[in-house]
Amino acid sequence: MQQRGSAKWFSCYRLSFSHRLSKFKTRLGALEVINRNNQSFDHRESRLDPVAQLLANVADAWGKGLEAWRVLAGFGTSSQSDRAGTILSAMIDQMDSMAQFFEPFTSLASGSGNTTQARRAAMTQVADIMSAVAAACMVGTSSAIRYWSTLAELGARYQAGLVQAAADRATGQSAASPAECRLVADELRAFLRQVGEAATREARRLQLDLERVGETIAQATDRATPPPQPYKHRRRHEVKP
Amino acid sequence: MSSIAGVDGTSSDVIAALGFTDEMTILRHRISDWVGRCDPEMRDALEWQFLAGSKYFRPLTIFACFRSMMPGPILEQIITSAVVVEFFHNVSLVIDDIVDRSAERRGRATLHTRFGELNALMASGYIVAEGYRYLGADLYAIGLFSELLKRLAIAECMQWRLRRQMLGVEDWRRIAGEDTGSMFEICACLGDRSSRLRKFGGLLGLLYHGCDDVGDVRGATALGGGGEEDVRDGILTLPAALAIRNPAVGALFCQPDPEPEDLRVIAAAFSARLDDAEAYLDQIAEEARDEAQTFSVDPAPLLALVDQTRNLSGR
Repeated sequence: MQQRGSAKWFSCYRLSFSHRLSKFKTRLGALEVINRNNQSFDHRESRLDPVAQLLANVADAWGKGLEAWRVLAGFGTSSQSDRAGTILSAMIDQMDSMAQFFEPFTSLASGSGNTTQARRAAMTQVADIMSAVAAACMVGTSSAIRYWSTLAELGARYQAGLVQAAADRATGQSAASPAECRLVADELRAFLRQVGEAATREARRLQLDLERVGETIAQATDRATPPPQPYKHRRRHEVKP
Repeated sequence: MSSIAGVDGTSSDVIAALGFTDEMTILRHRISDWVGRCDPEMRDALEWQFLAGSKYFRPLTIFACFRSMMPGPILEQIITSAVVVEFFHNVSLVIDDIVDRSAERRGRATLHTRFGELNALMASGYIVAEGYRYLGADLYAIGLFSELLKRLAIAECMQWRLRRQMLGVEDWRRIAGEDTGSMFEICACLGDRSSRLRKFGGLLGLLYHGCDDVGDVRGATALGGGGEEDVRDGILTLPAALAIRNPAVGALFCQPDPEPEDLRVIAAAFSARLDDAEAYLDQIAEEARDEAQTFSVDPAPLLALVDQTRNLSGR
């Protein structure tokens, strides 16, 4: 099965994550952590708790992402009242809340490395889920970007013809024949249909990608409490009415 | 008649390529068995309608959608749905032939020509009733088939109401989407059992309908041939929607009783727009491929279906 949807995004997330934090790698499920000196974390070698360190670095990465969005929002301060500004602010608020959620883990990372086994296991589960939550945020953000870029593409494709037709009418340069009117109307309808389809398609794609992240979370939870039957047999082939 | 229906050459290759030869054989045997068990009063008509051969493109779509979402053998429930979709497809053919006054389909007398309109209409009702009985307790499929019959009825009325009018490509898209589009939408939902491929199915149906329109103008026989009825009745096909952008062609197209010479001019105008129609079909095919790649687990069977359908225009 090829890697698609959220899995792809998770890969991107992993890629950017390890890029941002240089010598830091993680994999959902089996956790592999390498410190900034390209050495594997091991409580015998390091006093830092690797899971706490991972979460702290997630928090760090998240904070940097938040900064980037704030800078982006700063470019549009002159039009703060417009709708795009409002949407951007809402997204930043959401990311800010997430950053606050990460904060406790930053302090954990600087704590002692002699955590108990139980605490370590619990934190591993949290790390799995947190990674999935971060992936979900990435999915949401990329969906929004993809939607707006589709709209921009559609606008670019139809704008020239439609604007020209409107301008001709407005300046009275040419009287529209019924045939021309029908052609413009057909173009306009095609444009509106595609705008609507772009919204529904993106919504379906977002739903699918988030379902996949949800499955990842469910699998992480199942690993903590193994079911009597393999996971796939329990949740496979969901039938909707 | 004890034999089973043959598979049309236009789809036998893709059936084999997708690995559905066995499933298709089972399907044909099921249909043959069903015909053999029908009331003797109806049997001759049903044998005439069902055992003459078919492309089985709709069952193939169901199988391909199932396979694109789940590996492994085709489930019994899916084969049953495929049998019933073939039933309902034949109902739509019988009604279309009556409405279009078609004497032949694929070089063979249509059901109403062979047995009379009353028998053809009654056979349609009989097939629908048997289709629902055949589905048993599969409520998901029953809901989808109900949706299909309602949408086909609406599409047929809409297409007839909107004939001989100066409409556009968007209107064609709407009509085709409710007609053939709805059939393939339902096939996709029956196959994937989750409606995730519904949009893909709709686009595949739209592509099929458009290729049929273009193939008719080219005189292609892969989809049943003929197209004279559509020109005569002022049906909005894809080439028609493009050609009537020219007001002179539009005026001829909208005439209530066009002369034979007018019909020749209209047909020539349709032919002149075939390149535009093919380009539009390419766009639809691309949308369908994009849907398949985004929303299926394994898009390969769906991409093969799109390619197969796209070739039907006879380009």
